[in-house]
Amino acid sequence: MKFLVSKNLHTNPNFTLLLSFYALMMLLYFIGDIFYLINFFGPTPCEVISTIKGKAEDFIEPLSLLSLLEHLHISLFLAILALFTTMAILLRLSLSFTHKKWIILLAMGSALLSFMALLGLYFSSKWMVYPFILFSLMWHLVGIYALSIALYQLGFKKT
Amino acid sequence: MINHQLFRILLFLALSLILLQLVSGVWLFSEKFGLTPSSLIAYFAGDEQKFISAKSVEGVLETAVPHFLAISTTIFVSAHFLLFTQIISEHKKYLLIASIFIAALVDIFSSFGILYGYHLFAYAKLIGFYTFELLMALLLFILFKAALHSPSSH
Repeated sequence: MKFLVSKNLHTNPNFTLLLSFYALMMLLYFIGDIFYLINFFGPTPCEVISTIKGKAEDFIEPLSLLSLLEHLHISLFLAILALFTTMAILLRLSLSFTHKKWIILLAMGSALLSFMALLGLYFSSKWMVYPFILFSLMWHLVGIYALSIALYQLGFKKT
Repeated sequence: MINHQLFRILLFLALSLILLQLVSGVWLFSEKFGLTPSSLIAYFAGDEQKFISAKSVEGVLETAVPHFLAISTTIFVSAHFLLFTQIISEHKKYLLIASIFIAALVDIFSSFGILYGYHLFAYAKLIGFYTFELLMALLLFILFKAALHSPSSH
């Protein structure tokens, strides 16, 4: 998003206002999506496995491939949009190169791995539930961290 | 000033996610509609012998409307990077961007044609879908190449 990263954050008050509210809404998306995932898949690894693979003793049907693909397709689009715009803002923040690099690698990399782990969980081992939960949490938390820094710098840091 | 190496890492990971999105789109399409004209006609217009009811306009709109937003955003986000690369000529960039949007529009609008009984639109939808996916794959290939090799790819 070239247009998001082509101006200094602090030179235009309207641009700062725009970015601040955008960052706030994205922050709500990252937090809200954690609750959505907990609601959709369940709060524990066992419940996530039950949702995806089914559980005969509790009469829980396994998730259909169509439902899984629909979830994956929609969630992936939203994640790309949220992460990409968040990282575009991050590139303009006053942080060290290493700090920014790790935020980008952890957020985007773990998002990619979380969706692949979800497919792995559906088609292969139940143990894939752990990387799925770990990477899902990681990209949401790193996104929240990046946006918190953005909001702090937009609101308080005058350069 | 944005560090080019950081931008390249971001671009590479974003393109990987978009590639996964593209793969999930093909998979979902084949799972939901099937990849033949007859399966598309059966899905949209219904098939009494297979006890498949025809889709409603509302049902098709529910899929089509979000796709206007999602597809256009995905093309815009991906293709605007193409403008900063030197891998293909300006004319080819113009053709590629226009073809992707047109293929996406043909894909989306053909569903309504099938719904109203014009079965030829099943072929149009498949051609639109295959063209869109192949051209998006080509676009991503060009951008991956630019992100990995060209020092002025940003």
